[in-house]
Amino acid sequence: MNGQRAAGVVAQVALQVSAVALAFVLGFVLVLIFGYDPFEVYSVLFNGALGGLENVAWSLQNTTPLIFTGLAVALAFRAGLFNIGAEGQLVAGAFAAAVVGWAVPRLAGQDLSGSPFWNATWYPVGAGVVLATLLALAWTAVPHRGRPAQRLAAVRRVAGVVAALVAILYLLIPRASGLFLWVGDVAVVPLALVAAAVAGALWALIPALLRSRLGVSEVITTIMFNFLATLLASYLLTTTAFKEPGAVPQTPAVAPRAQLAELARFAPQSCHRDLDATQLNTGFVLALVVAILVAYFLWRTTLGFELRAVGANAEAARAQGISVGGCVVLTMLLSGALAGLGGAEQVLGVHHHFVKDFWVGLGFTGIAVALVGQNHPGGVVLAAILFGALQNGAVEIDMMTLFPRELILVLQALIIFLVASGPMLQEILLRRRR
Amino acid sequence: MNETLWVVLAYTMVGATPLVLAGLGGVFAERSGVINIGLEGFMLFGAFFSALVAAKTGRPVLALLVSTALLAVVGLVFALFTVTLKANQVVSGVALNMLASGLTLFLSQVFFDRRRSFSLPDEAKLDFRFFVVLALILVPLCTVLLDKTRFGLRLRAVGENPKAADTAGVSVPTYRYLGLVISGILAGLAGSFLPFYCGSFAKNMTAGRGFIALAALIFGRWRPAGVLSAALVFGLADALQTTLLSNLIPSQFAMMVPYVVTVVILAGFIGRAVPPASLGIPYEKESR
Repeated sequence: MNGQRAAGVVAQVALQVSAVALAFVLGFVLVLIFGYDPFEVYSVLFNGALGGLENVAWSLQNTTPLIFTGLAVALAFRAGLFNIGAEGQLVAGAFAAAVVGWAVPRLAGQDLSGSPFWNATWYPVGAGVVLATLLALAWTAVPHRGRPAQRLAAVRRVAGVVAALVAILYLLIPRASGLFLWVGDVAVVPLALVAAAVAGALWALIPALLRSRLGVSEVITTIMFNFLATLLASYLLTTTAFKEPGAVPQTPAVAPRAQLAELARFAPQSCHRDLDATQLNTGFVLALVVAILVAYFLWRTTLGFELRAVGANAEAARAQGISVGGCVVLTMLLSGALAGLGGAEQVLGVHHHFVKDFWVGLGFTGIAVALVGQNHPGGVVLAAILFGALQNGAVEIDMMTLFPRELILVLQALIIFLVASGPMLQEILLRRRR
Repeated sequence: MNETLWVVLAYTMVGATPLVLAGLGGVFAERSGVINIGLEGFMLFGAFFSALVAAKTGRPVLALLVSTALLAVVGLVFALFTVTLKANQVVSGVALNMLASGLTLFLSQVFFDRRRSFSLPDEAKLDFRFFVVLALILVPLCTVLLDKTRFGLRLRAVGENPKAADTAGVSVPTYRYLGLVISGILAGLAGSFLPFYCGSFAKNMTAGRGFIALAALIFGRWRPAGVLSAALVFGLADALQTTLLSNLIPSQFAMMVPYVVTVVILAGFIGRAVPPASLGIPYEKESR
């Protein structure tokens, strides 16, 4: 019934695969030109990428953050937005996750009723502020007649839920130490993930608003916010408040309870030797779940439909009564949140610290992942595996041969060039044949 | 006091020179309608090729010529993808940066016995003041070229309204190719400044200067004189931090200046920055 659509998908996949294959052929020639044995280099590369359980686990570990950043770029692209800022948003998310994962379990064991924010003077004031915030949010949620009522309604709803959660926590913490212990113990991972998503989204907020209100291209602003994030992070890692004592510029380690469990723990005993060396963690499973959720959101919800409508033709979407500005903001926030989750996975699952420069290249490779994956969540997962495996192959090339590992960067760049120009190349080649 | 002033001025010029050259490169690409995120990559290629030839031959002038020729080729390849094959310009820029980062390190290891950095022998060094003077000469030259010549008019027309230019008989692809080749050469010169100034080539030594040049391009409103003043402001911010205010302000905050300024400028708080009308849009010639 859907034969035509299936054929279209097959043609698209074939185009992507042939572009990737062509990049590998060019890489092969490059190796040959410089007098190395391409068969040796490529066999080491493929063995490093996918040979044996341990290498597969390493590759999937590299894959995980790329799924998140790839999804972030892909989701934005579906709404016609180019989020080059995934790296900055990932940094913001990672930092938030690191702080929550480190500070919350430490604070959870302490009696806070005498400390600032929760002492006898400030508790009533704080409670008043919280209630006022909630009332204000409830008021903004009331639809206004004669105005574009739906504008940002979804954003407000999310903000309302977050504010309500903050309020409940604030009001209950000093009264129920049991609850607070629970937050520091069981709930710290979800809390850190939420904090990371919120931080990532906030890092995308200004570019989003500039785009929706003033029509400023998000391409340049998100690039600028990448640099701002990395500079701010490297500054914070020089301050005593956030830097762990010692030579390494990193935050203190997150508590064991705040770490994402390694998948090795759930594997049969016989696999442990292969898996123990890697930090493949439940974040990978989370990435797959998030990919499914993004697909569900895009194709099974009204908001997802509106988002795609805006991406396909913003003017037509506006004519249909879709709030284009609200959609742009919402998409950028979601995109930032996805990238932020990727940062949380890196901190909570792999490094266990917010280490300086762990993020280099994750955002830009995410663009490549989204491009090769055709901005489809399934394609993004497959493309992320391709790039993650290539990275592990690079490590293997470094260890096993005299050949520079940077071959992989060259291959990645060639893949991007060829995939990006694939449709036109195909057209030219087919025209010639006719 | 007088001496400090000279030191600040010198630091400003050293910081501004690569930004001016790369920013001028950005002017030619973007006024012809092609977004050039790849300035960083062009710069890195320029830095590597000139350092490579200078270190191997000991002849800096030859190195500069070879590097310029190679950068023209890189510009051509970039144009092939973005203009002829209509690949997304931003994506292509990202790919170019990745290619530059990978290929320069790859070649460095091939030519220098598995090392990712190498230094230049003394006889291979070119006085870096040459680049400062070159940048200052090129600004008025580029202004004249863009504003007073037929070439400049056509290049700008292709970036503002390619359809009108095409109707008037100006070949849109030709001018975009020319814009990108000039862009590659100028950004390459900006990159060449770095190894001659530092006396060595190091891994990813451009360190984001291509993106700061992009910021200078926007701050300078896509005009050569504007690029110069923007680069001087950014250079001054950096120079003040390194010389006078190093105890007062952390270096990271001085480094944030170009990015913050760019966002503020784009937001329109200090005058409006309006990019060329057809920036980023591949030109489709209407068929029949």
